[in-house]
Amino acid sequence: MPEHRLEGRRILVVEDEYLIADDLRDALVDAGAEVLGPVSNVKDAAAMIASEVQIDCALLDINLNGAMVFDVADTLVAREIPFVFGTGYDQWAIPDRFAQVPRLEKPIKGRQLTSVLAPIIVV
Amino acid sequence: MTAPADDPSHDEAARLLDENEQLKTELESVLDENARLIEDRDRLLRRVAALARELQSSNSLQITRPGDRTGEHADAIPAATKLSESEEELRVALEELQVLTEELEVANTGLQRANEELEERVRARTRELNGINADLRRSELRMSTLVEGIPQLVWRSGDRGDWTWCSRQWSDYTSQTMDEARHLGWLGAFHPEDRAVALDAWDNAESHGGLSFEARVLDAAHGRYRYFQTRAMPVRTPEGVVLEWLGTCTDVDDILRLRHQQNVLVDELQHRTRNLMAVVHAVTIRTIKGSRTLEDFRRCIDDRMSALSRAQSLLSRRGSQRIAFDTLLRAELSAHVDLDSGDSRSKISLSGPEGIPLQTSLVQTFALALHELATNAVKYGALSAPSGVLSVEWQLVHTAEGTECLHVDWHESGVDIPEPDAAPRGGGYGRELIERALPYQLGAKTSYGFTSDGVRCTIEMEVPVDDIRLETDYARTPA
Repeated sequence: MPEHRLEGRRILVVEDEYLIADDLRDALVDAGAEVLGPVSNVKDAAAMIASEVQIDCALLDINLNGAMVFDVADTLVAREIPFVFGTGYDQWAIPDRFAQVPRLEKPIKGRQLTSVLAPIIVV
Repeated sequence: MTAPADDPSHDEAARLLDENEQLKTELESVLDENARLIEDRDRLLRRVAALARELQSSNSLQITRPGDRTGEHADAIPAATKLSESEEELRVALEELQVLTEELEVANTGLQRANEELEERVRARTRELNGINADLRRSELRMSTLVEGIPQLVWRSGDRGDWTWCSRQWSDYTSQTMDEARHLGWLGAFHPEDRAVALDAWDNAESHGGLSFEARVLDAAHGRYRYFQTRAMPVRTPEGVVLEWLGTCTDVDDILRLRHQQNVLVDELQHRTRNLMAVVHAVTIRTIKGSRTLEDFRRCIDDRMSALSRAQSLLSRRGSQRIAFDTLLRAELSAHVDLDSGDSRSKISLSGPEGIPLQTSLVQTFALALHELATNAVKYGALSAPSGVLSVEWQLVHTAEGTECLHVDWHESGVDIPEPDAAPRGGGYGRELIERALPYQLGAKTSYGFTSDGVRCTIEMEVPVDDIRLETDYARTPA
């Protein structure tokens, strides 16, 4: 049974691969969250961050069809929205300023997602 | 590089110089001795001459006064005595002169021998020196051939990059003359952003015992900069004093670019492997949800994994080329039917240009979507019905915005269509991939629907324009 630890949380998902994004959405919905997106590129992510008043946290894929997601991450930092990186990359690909940002290695499992996201959400 | 102090020909030259010095000293002492003898002889000659004059004047006195003989007889005897004394003195002097002349002759003979000996030794040394000079010239020629033959740009410098000389290669490469490169002129051939790096390296060169830095140097012929590894070592005296620096600049641009490419490829591989695992995970979860029985699941997951495998194998075989739409389409259809069989030829019509490239990131999803379409066609659609026909037409369309689009029209006919309200056959995964996945990933415009006798699906997506796509792709890609 899902633990529903993300009940009512609004979570932005940025992931360029549809199949993975869909999988993540399913897992988050199962955990009780409301998914914003998923969006597949930097432009759509920026637009969503600008238009949504409440975003509790975000899950960011690093490489979006060749474009790096770090601008999106900076915007989230500015808005004090916590986020995690979902990555297929080695650690060194991530700039130093995000050294403290939690990382989830792909493939991301639903249970893992909940246990990493739940504690970082500011209540 | 060898410091001059260690050079054997240098030692040899020093030895010859010493020997020459010694010969000179010997010659000087012989000449001194000779000069002394000549001086003695001259003195004697002067004396003989004086005596001779004296004698002559005595004689003439006697001759000019013959009439006085009787009256002055008493005086004649002392005069005669005086004359014989002078004669005696002259005789002694002449004897002395004779001895001295003999001595001088001996000395001269010695001098001549010494001279001959010296000349012989000088000739020998000259031959030796000529040999050494020829060796040096050959060595110099070898060195300059080496310096001008190696791909490195070679130069010499004083402290802190104060260049004194550069090889022809430097001038050829940067188009700087030697005068322009001298002192800090060489800095002008380095990229403006890298000049501080170069000067900084020179500041620390002596304390580091060598110079080493990477910076861009102007390739004047092509009007661009390339990365060079610059290195120099100090030439020191045996006491450790730096005489000068000998340096080289080595083109490492290709190596750096390859290293960078390698990093990019390793990144890409990491990214793809992780993504593939995530996709497999997603497809598996989805297949579980769409399966009624384990047997259902087994068959379905087997097909989908095969489709992913085909896409991966196309991706890994392509090298730096993009995958063409027709390649992907034929690969997916071939997994279900034999495209070359007579039956297939009458039921399947494929028409469109070869080699229209696809976005690499889309290939996997597109392969799955085509796989689902083909599976449905084989199970329920045009390829299951005796009268069914599958027609796939595609073309390259130039848009008003100046981009190129791939238009695909998948059209099945001669098929009994289920009631509009019925649940989608095959779980609707193909439809979802067409309607949602393709637009999600690359903004493709798609449609999926039913005509009166079969599925009709259209896909419209932008064709990538980048350096991967070559003009020849269209011709080269196999059908």
